[in-house]
Amino acid sequence: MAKFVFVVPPLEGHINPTLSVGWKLLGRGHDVRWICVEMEGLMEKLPKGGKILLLHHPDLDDDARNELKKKLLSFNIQGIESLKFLYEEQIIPFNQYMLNEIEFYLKDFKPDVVVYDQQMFAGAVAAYRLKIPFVASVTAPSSIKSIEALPKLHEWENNQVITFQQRNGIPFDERLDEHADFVLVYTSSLFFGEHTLPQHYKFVGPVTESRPNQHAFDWERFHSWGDIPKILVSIGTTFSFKEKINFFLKVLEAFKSEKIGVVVVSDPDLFDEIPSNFIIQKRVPQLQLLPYLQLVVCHAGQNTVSESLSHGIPLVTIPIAYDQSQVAESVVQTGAGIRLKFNRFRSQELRNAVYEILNNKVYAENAGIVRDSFIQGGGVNAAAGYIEELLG
Amino acid sequence: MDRNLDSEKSKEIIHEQLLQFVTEIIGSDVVEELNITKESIFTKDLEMDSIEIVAFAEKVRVQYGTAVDFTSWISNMELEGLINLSFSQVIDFIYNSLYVK
Repeated sequence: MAKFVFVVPPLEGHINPTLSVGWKLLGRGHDVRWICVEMEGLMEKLPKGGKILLLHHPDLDDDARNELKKKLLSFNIQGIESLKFLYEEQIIPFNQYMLNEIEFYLKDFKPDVVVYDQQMFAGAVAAYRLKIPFVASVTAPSSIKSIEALPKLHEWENNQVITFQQRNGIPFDERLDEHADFVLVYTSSLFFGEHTLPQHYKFVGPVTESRPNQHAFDWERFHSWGDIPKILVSIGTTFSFKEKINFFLKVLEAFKSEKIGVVVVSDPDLFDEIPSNFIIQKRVPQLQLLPYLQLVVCHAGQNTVSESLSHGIPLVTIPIAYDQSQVAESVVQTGAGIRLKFNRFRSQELRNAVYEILNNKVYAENAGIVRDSFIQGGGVNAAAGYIEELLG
Repeated sequence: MDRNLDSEKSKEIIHEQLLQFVTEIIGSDVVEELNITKESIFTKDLEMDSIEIVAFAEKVRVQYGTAVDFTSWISNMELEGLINLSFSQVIDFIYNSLYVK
Protein backbone atom coordinates (compact mmCIF):
# COMPACT_ATOMS: atom_id res chain seq x y z
CA MET A 1 0.00 0.00 0.00
CA ALA A 2 1.26 3.45 -0.94
CA LYS A 3 0.34 6.89 0.31
CA PHE A 4 -0.93 9.62 -2.02
CA VAL A 5 -2.00 13.15 -1.35
CA PHE A 6 -3.97 15.59 -3.49
CA VAL A 7 -3.41 19.32 -2.91
CA VAL A 8 -6.51 21.16 -4.09
CA PRO A 9 -8.02 24.68 -3.98
CA PRO A 10 -11.51 25.16 -2.51
CA LEU A 11 -13.12 25.08 -5.95
CA GLU A 12 -15.48 22.33 -6.91
CA GLY A 13 -14.38 22.16 -10.52
CA HIS A 14 -10.80 21.60 -9.44
CA ILE A 15 -11.59 19.09 -6.71
CA ASN A 16 -14.09 16.89 -8.57
CA PRO A 17 -11.68 15.16 -10.98
CA THR A 18 -9.29 14.41 -8.10
CA LEU A 19 -12.14 12.70 -6.24
CA SER A 20 -12.54 10.28 -9.13
CA VAL A 21 -8.82 9.58 -9.46
CA GLY A 22 -8.54 9.27 -5.67
CA TRP A 23 -11.47 6.87 -5.61
CA LYS A 24 -9.64 4.65 -8.09
CA LEU A 25 -6.45 4.74 -6.01
CA LEU A 26 -8.39 3.95 -2.84
CA GLY A 27 -9.95 1.02 -4.67
CA ARG A 28 -6.48 -0.27 -5.43
CA GLY A 29 -5.75 -0.35 -1.71
CA HIS A 30 -3.82 2.88 -1.22
CA ASP A 31 -4.06 5.49 1.51
CA VAL A 32 -5.33 8.70 -0.12
CA ARG A 33 -5.77 12.13 1.44
CA TRP A 34 -6.77 15.58 0.29
CA ILE A 35 -5.12 18.78 1.53
CA CYS A 36 -7.73 21.53 1.28
CA VAL A 37 -9.34 24.36 3.21
CA GLU A 38 -12.75 23.75 4.68
CA MET A 39 -15.50 23.73 2.10
CA GLU A 40 -19.20 23.08 2.31
CA GLY A 41 -20.12 19.55 1.28
CA LEU A 42 -16.57 18.36 0.78
CA MET A 43 -16.71 15.69 3.50
CA GLU A 44 -19.83 14.11 1.99
CA LYS A 45 -18.29 14.03 -1.46
CA LEU A 46 -15.10 12.32 -0.43
CA PRO A 47 -14.81 8.73 -1.71
CA LYS A 48 -15.02 6.06 0.97
CA GLY A 49 -11.78 5.66 2.87
CA GLY A 50 -10.40 9.05 1.80
CA LYS A 51 -9.39 11.59 4.43
CA ILE A 52 -9.02 15.35 4.55
CA LEU A 53 -6.01 17.21 5.91
CA LEU A 54 -7.58 20.55 6.65
CA LEU A 55 -5.74 23.76 5.93
CA HIS A 56 -6.58 26.80 8.01
CA HIS A 57 -6.83 29.75 5.73
CA PRO A 58 -6.25 32.76 8.00
CA ASP A 59 -8.52 34.91 5.87
CA LEU A 60 -11.54 32.72 6.19
CA ASP A 61 -12.98 34.17 9.38
CA ASP A 62 -16.39 35.80 8.91
CA ASP A 63 -15.23 39.40 8.58
CA ALA A 64 -12.60 38.58 6.00
CA ARG A 65 -15.04 36.39 4.12
CA ASN A 66 -17.57 39.23 3.90
CA GLU A 67 -14.87 41.63 2.86
CA LEU A 68 -13.76 39.32 0.06
CA LYS A 69 -17.34 38.83 -1.04
CA LYS A 70 -17.87 42.59 -1.22
CA LYS A 71 -14.73 42.92 -3.28
CA LEU A 72 -15.80 40.18 -5.67
CA LEU A 73 -19.21 41.73 -6.14
CA SER A 74 -17.90 45.22 -6.79
CA PHE A 75 -15.14 44.12 -9.12
CA ASN A 76 -15.88 43.70 -12.78
CA ILE A 77 -14.31 40.27 -13.04
CA GLN A 78 -14.95 39.68 -16.70
CA GLY A 79 -12.77 39.27 -19.73
CA ILE A 80 -8.98 39.51 -19.80
CA GLU A 81 -8.86 41.60 -16.66
CA SER A 82 -10.25 38.67 -14.68
CA LEU A 83 -6.98 36.81 -15.30
CA LYS A 84 -5.05 39.55 -13.50
CA PHE A 85 -7.55 39.60 -10.66
CA LEU A 86 -7.50 35.83 -10.38
CA TYR A 87 -3.72 35.65 -9.98
CA GLU A 88 -3.00 38.81 -8.04
CA GLU A 89 -5.94 38.75 -5.66
CA GLN A 90 -6.63 35.08 -5.31
CA ILE A 91 -4.24 32.42 -6.56
CA ILE A 92 -0.89 33.89 -5.52
CA PRO A 93 -1.88 35.06 -2.01
CA PHE A 94 -3.74 31.83 -1.41
CA ASN A 95 -0.73 29.70 -2.35
CA GLN A 96 1.51 31.81 -0.16
CA TYR A 97 -0.81 31.42 2.85
CA MET A 98 -1.01 27.70 2.36
CA LEU A 99 2.59 26.81 1.60
CA ASN A 100 3.84 26.27 5.15
CA GLU A 101 0.85 24.25 6.19
CA ILE A 102 1.08 22.07 3.09
CA GLU A 103 4.71 21.43 3.86
CA PHE A 104 3.83 20.57 7.43
CA TYR A 105 1.26 18.00 6.30
CA LEU A 106 3.63 16.47 3.75
CA LYS A 107 6.34 16.05 6.40
CA ASP A 108 3.83 14.48 8.72
CA PHE A 109 2.02 12.17 6.25
CA LYS A 110 5.08 11.37 4.12
CA PRO A 111 3.21 10.53 0.92
CA ASP A 112 4.91 8.60 -1.89
CA VAL A 113 3.52 11.00 -4.48
CA VAL A 114 1.99 14.48 -4.29
CA VAL A 115 -0.69 15.28 -6.85
CA TYR A 116 -1.17 19.05 -6.90
CA ASP A 117 -3.82 21.01 -8.67
CA GLN A 118 -2.00 23.11 -11.21
CA GLN A 119 -3.31 26.28 -9.54
CA MET A 120 -2.09 25.04 -6.13
CA PHE A 121 1.55 25.17 -7.18
CA ALA A 122 2.48 25.61 -3.52
CA GLY A 123 1.94 21.83 -3.46
CA ALA A 124 4.66 21.39 -6.10
CA VAL A 125 6.99 23.75 -4.24
CA ALA A 126 6.54 21.85 -0.97
CA ALA A 127 6.97 18.48 -2.69
CA TYR A 128 10.09 19.64 -4.50
CA ARG A 129 11.62 20.95 -1.29
CA LEU A 130 10.90 17.64 0.45
CA LYS A 131 12.09 15.59 -2.54
CA ILE A 132 8.76 13.83 -2.98
CA PRO A 133 7.73 12.95 -6.58
CA PHE A 134 4.96 15.24 -7.81
CA VAL A 135 2.28 15.11 -10.48
CA ALA A 136 0.17 18.04 -11.72
CA SER A 137 -3.59 17.82 -12.07
CA VAL A 138 -4.92 20.20 -14.73
CA THR A 139 -8.66 20.80 -14.55
CA ALA A 140 -8.41 24.05 -16.54
CA PRO A 141 -6.45 23.04 -19.65
CA SER A 142 -6.42 26.58 -21.05
CA SER A 143 -3.95 27.44 -18.28
CA ILE A 144 -1.37 25.34 -20.14
CA LYS A 145 -2.27 26.75 -23.51
CA SER A 146 -1.00 29.90 -25.16
CA ILE A 147 -3.19 31.90 -27.51
CA GLU A 148 -0.96 32.11 -30.58
CA ALA A 149 -1.73 35.72 -31.38
CA LEU A 150 -1.50 36.89 -27.76
CA PRO A 151 1.41 34.94 -26.26
CA LYS A 152 2.03 37.50 -23.54
CA LEU A 153 -1.12 36.52 -21.69
CA HIS A 154 0.16 33.03 -21.04
CA GLU A 155 3.66 34.31 -20.40
CA TRP A 156 2.32 36.70 -17.78
CA GLU A 157 0.43 33.87 -16.12
CA ASN A 158 3.52 31.67 -16.04
CA ASN A 159 5.66 34.51 -14.72
CA GLN A 160 3.37 34.95 -11.74
CA VAL A 161 3.94 31.32 -10.85
CA ILE A 162 7.69 31.37 -11.55
CA THR A 163 8.11 34.46 -9.36
CA PHE A 164 6.21 32.71 -6.58
CA GLN A 165 8.43 29.64 -6.91
CA GLN A 166 11.62 31.70 -6.83
CA ARG A 167 10.45 33.68 -3.83
CA ASN A 168 10.08 30.35 -2.09
CA GLY A 169 13.50 29.00 -2.93
CA ILE A 170 12.90 27.11 -6.17
CA PRO A 171 15.85 27.77 -8.48
CA PHE A 172 14.12 27.30 -11.85
CA ASP A 173 13.21 29.80 -14.55
CA GLU A 174 10.26 27.68 -15.59
CA ARG A 175 7.22 26.31 -13.82
CA LEU A 176 7.63 23.22 -11.67
CA ASP A 177 5.08 21.58 -13.96
CA GLU A 178 8.01 21.10 -16.33
CA HIS A 179 9.77 19.09 -13.60
CA ALA A 180 6.71 17.08 -12.59
CA ASP A 181 6.79 13.38 -13.41
CA PHE A 182 3.43 13.73 -15.12
CA VAL A 183 0.94 16.45 -15.88
CA LEU A 184 -2.53 14.96 -16.00
CA VAL A 185 -4.81 16.89 -18.32
CA TYR A 186 -8.50 16.00 -18.09
CA THR A 187 -9.36 16.46 -21.74
CA SER A 188 -8.26 15.11 -25.14
CA SER A 189 -5.72 16.57 -27.57
CA LEU A 190 -8.54 16.81 -30.08
CA PHE A 191 -10.50 19.16 -27.82
CA PHE A 192 -7.41 20.97 -26.55
CA GLY A 193 -6.22 21.79 -30.04
CA GLU A 194 -2.76 21.74 -31.56
CA HIS A 195 0.12 21.91 -29.13
CA THR A 196 3.81 21.22 -28.67
CA LEU A 197 3.64 20.13 -25.04
CA PRO A 198 6.30 17.70 -23.82
CA GLN A 199 5.75 13.97 -23.43
CA HIS A 200 4.99 14.01 -19.73
CA TYR A 201 1.73 15.85 -20.38
CA LYS A 202 -0.92 13.12 -20.45
CA PHE A 203 -4.32 13.77 -21.94
CA VAL A 204 -6.39 11.28 -19.98
CA GLY A 205 -9.82 12.74 -20.83
CA PRO A 206 -12.41 13.92 -18.30
CA VAL A 207 -12.95 11.77 -15.20
CA THR A 208 -16.33 11.67 -13.49
CA GLU A 209 -16.51 8.32 -11.71
CA SER A 210 -17.72 7.85 -8.18
CA ARG A 211 -19.46 11.10 -7.51
CA PRO A 212 -22.38 10.22 -5.33
CA ASN A 213 -25.46 12.20 -6.21
CA GLN A 214 -25.96 14.68 -3.40
CA HIS A 215 -28.79 16.70 -4.80
CA ALA A 216 -32.50 16.01 -4.70
CA PHE A 217 -34.30 16.61 -7.97
CA ASP A 218 -37.87 16.88 -9.18
CA TRP A 219 -37.66 13.83 -11.47
CA GLU A 220 -41.43 13.49 -11.57
CA ARG A 221 -41.88 16.90 -13.17
CA PHE A 222 -38.89 16.27 -15.41
CA HIS A 223 -40.29 13.00 -16.79
CA SER A 224 -43.79 14.47 -17.07
CA TRP A 225 -42.50 16.61 -19.94
CA GLY A 226 -42.45 13.49 -22.11
CA ASP A 227 -40.71 13.54 -25.49
CA ILE A 228 -39.94 17.25 -25.86
CA PRO A 229 -36.26 18.26 -26.09
CA LYS A 230 -34.70 18.88 -22.69
CA ILE A 231 -31.90 21.27 -21.96
CA LEU A 232 -29.83 22.26 -18.95
CA VAL A 233 -28.86 25.87 -18.26
CA SER A 234 -26.01 26.39 -15.84
CA ILE A 235 -23.52 29.21 -15.40
CA GLY A 236 -21.58 27.57 -12.66
CA THR A 237 -21.26 28.02 -8.96
CA THR A 238 -18.54 30.67 -8.96
CA PHE A 239 -20.42 33.73 -10.07
CA SER A 240 -22.72 35.60 -7.78
CA PHE A 241 -23.16 39.07 -9.13
CA LYS A 242 -26.19 40.96 -10.32
CA GLU A 243 -25.65 40.28 -14.03
CA LYS A 244 -26.81 36.79 -13.18
CA ILE A 245 -30.34 38.08 -12.77
CA ASN A 246 -30.35 39.62 -16.25
CA PHE A 247 -28.99 36.39 -17.62
CA PHE A 248 -31.74 34.29 -16.13
CA LEU A 249 -34.44 36.73 -17.23
CA LYS A 250 -33.23 36.28 -20.79
CA VAL A 251 -33.32 32.51 -20.38
CA LEU A 252 -36.87 32.71 -19.09
CA GLU A 253 -37.92 34.98 -21.95
CA ALA A 254 -36.28 32.70 -24.53
CA PHE A 255 -37.99 29.45 -23.51
CA LYS A 256 -41.12 30.11 -21.48
CA SER A 257 -43.40 29.65 -24.50
CA GLU A 258 -41.43 26.90 -26.21
CA LYS A 259 -41.94 23.16 -26.31
CA ILE A 260 -38.63 22.61 -24.59
CA GLY A 261 -38.04 21.37 -21.05
CA VAL A 262 -35.56 23.63 -19.29
CA VAL A 263 -33.62 22.74 -16.15
CA VAL A 264 -31.99 25.84 -14.71
CA VAL A 265 -29.30 25.80 -12.05
CA SER A 266 -30.08 28.93 -10.06
CA ASP A 267 -31.61 30.27 -6.92
CA PRO A 268 -35.38 29.98 -7.66
CA ASP A 269 -35.91 33.20 -5.69
CA LEU A 270 -34.45 35.15 -8.60
CA PHE A 271 -37.56 34.24 -10.61
CA ASP A 272 -40.99 35.78 -10.13
CA GLU A 273 -42.68 33.11 -12.21
CA ILE A 274 -41.69 29.54 -12.92
CA PRO A 275 -43.32 28.30 -16.16
CA SER A 276 -44.47 24.68 -16.30
CA ASN A 277 -41.63 23.74 -18.68
CA PHE A 278 -38.99 24.95 -16.20
CA ILE A 279 -37.33 23.32 -13.22
CA ILE A 280 -35.21 25.73 -11.23
CA GLN A 281 -32.99 24.44 -8.47
CA LYS A 282 -29.91 25.76 -6.75
CA ARG A 283 -28.14 22.46 -7.27
CA VAL A 284 -28.98 19.60 -9.60
CA PRO A 285 -27.62 16.06 -10.02
CA GLN A 286 -25.88 17.07 -13.24
CA LEU A 287 -24.22 13.75 -14.06
CA GLN A 288 -27.48 11.85 -13.54
CA LEU A 289 -29.39 14.35 -15.67
CA LEU A 290 -27.05 14.42 -18.66
CA PRO A 291 -28.19 11.13 -20.25
CA TYR A 292 -31.68 12.63 -20.70
CA LEU A 293 -30.60 15.91 -22.26
CA GLN A 294 -30.26 17.06 -25.88
CA LEU A 295 -28.31 20.22 -25.18
CA VAL A 296 -26.51 22.16 -22.46
CA VAL A 297 -26.31 25.96 -22.20
CA CYS A 298 -23.42 27.00 -19.97
CA HIS A 299 -20.67 29.49 -19.14
CA ALA A 300 -18.01 27.28 -20.77
CA GLY A 301 -16.58 26.11 -17.48
CA GLN A 302 -14.23 23.25 -18.28
CA ASN A 303 -16.06 20.68 -16.17
CA THR A 304 -19.59 21.28 -17.38
CA VAL A 305 -18.35 21.36 -20.97
CA SER A 306 -16.37 18.14 -20.50
CA GLU A 307 -19.22 16.36 -18.77
CA SER A 308 -21.65 17.34 -21.54
CA LEU A 309 -19.29 16.30 -24.31
CA SER A 310 -18.56 13.04 -22.48
CA HIS A 311 -22.21 12.28 -23.11
CA GLY A 312 -21.99 13.52 -26.70
CA ILE A 313 -24.21 16.48 -25.87
CA PRO A 314 -23.67 19.70 -27.90
CA LEU A 315 -23.51 23.10 -26.22
CA VAL A 316 -24.40 26.74 -26.37
CA THR A 317 -21.56 28.45 -24.54
CA ILE A 318 -21.76 31.89 -22.98
CA PRO A 319 -18.31 32.52 -21.48
CA ILE A 320 -18.01 35.08 -18.69
CA ALA A 321 -14.43 35.23 -17.44
CA TYR A 322 -11.15 33.50 -16.69
CA ASP A 323 -10.35 30.78 -19.23
CA GLN A 324 -13.94 30.32 -20.37
CA SER A 325 -13.45 32.21 -23.61
CA GLN A 326 -10.84 29.64 -24.62
CA VAL A 327 -12.98 26.69 -23.62
CA ALA A 328 -15.86 28.17 -25.64
CA GLU A 329 -13.49 28.54 -28.57
CA SER A 330 -12.61 24.83 -28.37
CA VAL A 331 -16.31 23.97 -28.49
CA VAL A 332 -16.71 26.08 -31.63
CA GLN A 333 -13.51 24.71 -33.19
CA THR A 334 -14.65 21.10 -32.75
CA GLY A 335 -18.08 21.98 -34.18
CA ALA A 336 -19.80 20.81 -31.01
CA GLY A 337 -21.63 24.03 -30.30
CA ILE A 338 -22.31 27.74 -30.67
CA ARG A 339 -20.93 30.66 -28.67
CA LEU A 340 -22.81 33.73 -27.42
CA LYS A 341 -21.75 36.82 -25.45
CA PHE A 342 -22.67 36.92 -21.79
CA ASN A 343 -23.62 40.56 -21.38
CA ARG A 344 -24.86 41.17 -24.89
CA PHE A 345 -26.83 38.22 -26.16
CA ARG A 346 -30.58 38.63 -26.58
CA SER A 347 -33.11 36.01 -25.65
CA GLN A 348 -33.99 35.70 -29.32
CA GLU A 349 -30.38 34.78 -30.13
CA LEU A 350 -30.30 32.18 -27.40
CA ARG A 351 -33.55 30.66 -28.66
CA ASN A 352 -32.21 30.62 -32.24
CA ALA A 353 -28.93 29.02 -31.16
CA VAL A 354 -30.78 26.30 -29.25
CA TYR A 355 -33.05 25.51 -32.22
CA GLU A 356 -30.11 25.57 -34.62
CA ILE A 357 -28.45 22.84 -32.57
CA LEU A 358 -31.60 20.83 -31.91
CA ASN A 359 -32.56 20.86 -35.60
CA ASN A 360 -29.14 20.22 -37.04
CA LYS A 361 -27.66 16.91 -36.00
CA VAL A 362 -24.12 17.79 -37.08
CA TYR A 363 -23.52 19.43 -33.68
CA ALA A 364 -24.43 16.26 -31.81
CA GLU A 365 -22.31 14.23 -34.23
CA ASN A 366 -19.31 16.47 -33.57
CA ALA A 367 -19.95 16.24 -29.84
CA GLY A 368 -19.87 12.45 -30.32
CA ILE A 369 -16.47 12.70 -31.99
CA VAL A 370 -15.15 14.64 -28.99
CA ARG A 371 -16.71 12.04 -26.66
CA ASP A 372 -14.83 9.27 -28.49
CA SER A 373 -11.56 11.19 -28.18
CA PHE A 374 -12.19 11.50 -24.43
CA ILE A 375 -12.70 7.75 -24.08
CA GLN A 376 -9.41 7.09 -25.84
CA GLY A 377 -7.60 9.06 -23.11
CA GLY A 378 -8.19 6.20 -20.71
CA GLY A 379 -9.82 8.29 -18.00
CA VAL A 380 -9.51 7.43 -14.36
CA ASN A 381 -7.65 4.14 -14.96
CA ALA A 382 -4.98 5.87 -16.99
CA ALA A 383 -4.67 8.71 -14.46
CA ALA A 384 -4.32 6.34 -11.50
CA GLY A 385 -1.90 4.24 -13.55
CA TYR A 386 0.47 7.14 -14.16
CA ILE A 387 0.48 8.01 -10.47
CA GLU A 388 1.20 4.42 -9.47
CA GLU A 389 4.04 4.24 -12.00
CA LEU A 390 6.01 6.48 -9.67
CA LEU A 391 6.09 3.96 -6.86
CA GLY A 392 9.57 2.55 -6.50
CA MET B 1 -4.42 71.10 -47.61
CA ASP B 2 -2.90 71.69 -44.21
CA ARG B 3 -0.79 68.76 -43.01
CA ASN B 4 -2.59 68.50 -39.67
CA LEU B 5 -5.93 68.47 -41.36
CA ASP B 6 -4.67 65.77 -43.64
CA SER B 7 -3.59 63.57 -40.77
CA GLU B 8 -6.92 64.14 -39.00
CA LYS B 9 -8.71 62.99 -42.09
CA SER B 10 -6.54 59.88 -42.48
CA LYS B 11 -7.11 58.97 -38.86
CA GLU B 12 -10.82 59.46 -39.31
CA ILE B 13 -10.79 56.98 -42.19
CA ILE B 14 -8.88 54.46 -40.10
CA HIS B 15 -11.32 55.00 -37.25
CA GLU B 16 -14.27 54.26 -39.50
CA GLN B 17 -12.57 51.12 -40.77
CA LEU B 18 -11.85 49.85 -37.24
CA LEU B 19 -15.39 50.59 -36.18
CA GLN B 20 -16.54 48.44 -39.07
CA PHE B 21 -14.35 45.55 -37.82
CA VAL B 22 -15.66 45.86 -34.29
CA THR B 23 -19.22 45.91 -35.64
CA GLU B 24 -18.57 42.69 -37.54
CA ILE B 25 -17.30 41.05 -34.37
CA ILE B 26 -19.72 42.24 -31.71
CA GLY B 27 -22.77 43.13 -33.81
CA SER B 28 -24.22 46.41 -35.01
CA ASP B 29 -26.95 46.64 -32.38
CA VAL B 30 -24.37 46.40 -29.62
CA VAL B 31 -22.11 48.97 -31.26
CA GLU B 32 -25.04 51.41 -31.43
CA GLU B 33 -25.73 51.00 -27.74
CA LEU B 34 -22.12 51.39 -26.72
CA ASN B 35 -21.41 54.88 -28.09
CA ILE B 36 -17.82 54.09 -29.03
CA THR B 37 -15.33 56.98 -29.01
CA LYS B 38 -11.60 57.17 -29.69
CA GLU B 39 -11.04 56.80 -25.96
CA SER B 40 -13.00 53.53 -25.77
CA ILE B 41 -11.03 50.63 -24.35
CA PHE B 42 -11.42 47.28 -26.07
CA THR B 43 -11.56 45.06 -22.99
CA LYS B 44 -13.53 47.39 -20.72
CA ASP B 45 -15.82 49.59 -22.79
CA LEU B 46 -16.32 47.15 -25.65
CA GLU B 47 -16.15 44.11 -23.38
CA MET B 48 -14.10 42.26 -25.96
CA ASP B 49 -12.42 39.11 -24.73
CA SER B 50 -9.13 37.58 -25.86
CA ILE B 51 -10.66 35.58 -28.68
CA GLU B 52 -12.48 38.64 -30.05
CA ILE B 53 -9.32 40.72 -29.91
CA VAL B 54 -7.58 38.01 -31.92
CA ALA B 55 -10.40 38.16 -34.48
CA PHE B 56 -10.04 41.94 -34.59
CA ALA B 57 -6.26 41.68 -35.14
CA GLU B 58 -6.87 39.26 -37.98
CA LYS B 59 -9.19 41.72 -39.71
CA VAL B 60 -6.62 44.49 -39.38
CA ARG B 61 -3.97 42.19 -40.84
CA VAL B 62 -6.12 41.30 -43.83
CA GLN B 63 -7.06 44.94 -44.46
CA TYR B 64 -3.63 46.57 -44.19
CA GLY B 65 -1.33 43.72 -45.15
CA THR B 66 2.39 43.97 -44.56
CA ALA B 67 2.41 47.76 -44.40
CA VAL B 68 1.07 47.55 -40.86
CA ASP B 69 2.61 44.87 -38.66
CA PHE B 70 -0.28 44.86 -36.27
CA THR B 71 0.12 41.16 -35.47
CA SER B 72 3.61 41.58 -33.99
CA TRP B 73 2.65 44.77 -32.25
CA ILE B 74 -0.27 43.18 -30.43
CA SER B 75 1.49 39.89 -29.78
CA ASN B 76 4.25 41.79 -27.99
CA MET B 77 1.79 43.62 -25.81
CA GLU B 78 1.95 42.84 -22.10
CA LEU B 79 -1.18 41.92 -20.15
CA GLU B 80 -1.53 45.41 -18.68
CA GLY B 81 -1.21 47.03 -22.10
CA LEU B 82 -3.79 44.71 -23.56
CA ILE B 83 -6.25 45.38 -20.75
CA ASN B 84 -5.92 49.13 -21.38
CA LEU B 85 -5.71 49.08 -25.17
CA SER B 86 -7.80 51.92 -26.61
CA PHE B 87 -9.18 52.77 -30.02
CA SER B 88 -6.92 55.80 -30.33
CA GLN B 89 -3.79 53.71 -29.69
CA VAL B 90 -4.69 51.36 -32.52
CA ILE B 91 -5.53 54.28 -34.83
CA ASP B 92 -2.19 55.93 -34.05
CA PHE B 93 -0.29 52.73 -34.61
CA ILE B 94 -1.86 52.14 -37.99
CA TYR B 95 -1.52 55.79 -38.98
CA ASN B 96 2.17 55.86 -38.01
CA SER B 97 2.87 52.62 -39.86
CA LEU B 98 1.21 53.92 -43.00
CA TYR B 99 2.24 57.54 -43.14
CA VAL B 100 5.11 58.25 -40.79
CA LYS B 101 8.31 56.83 -42.12
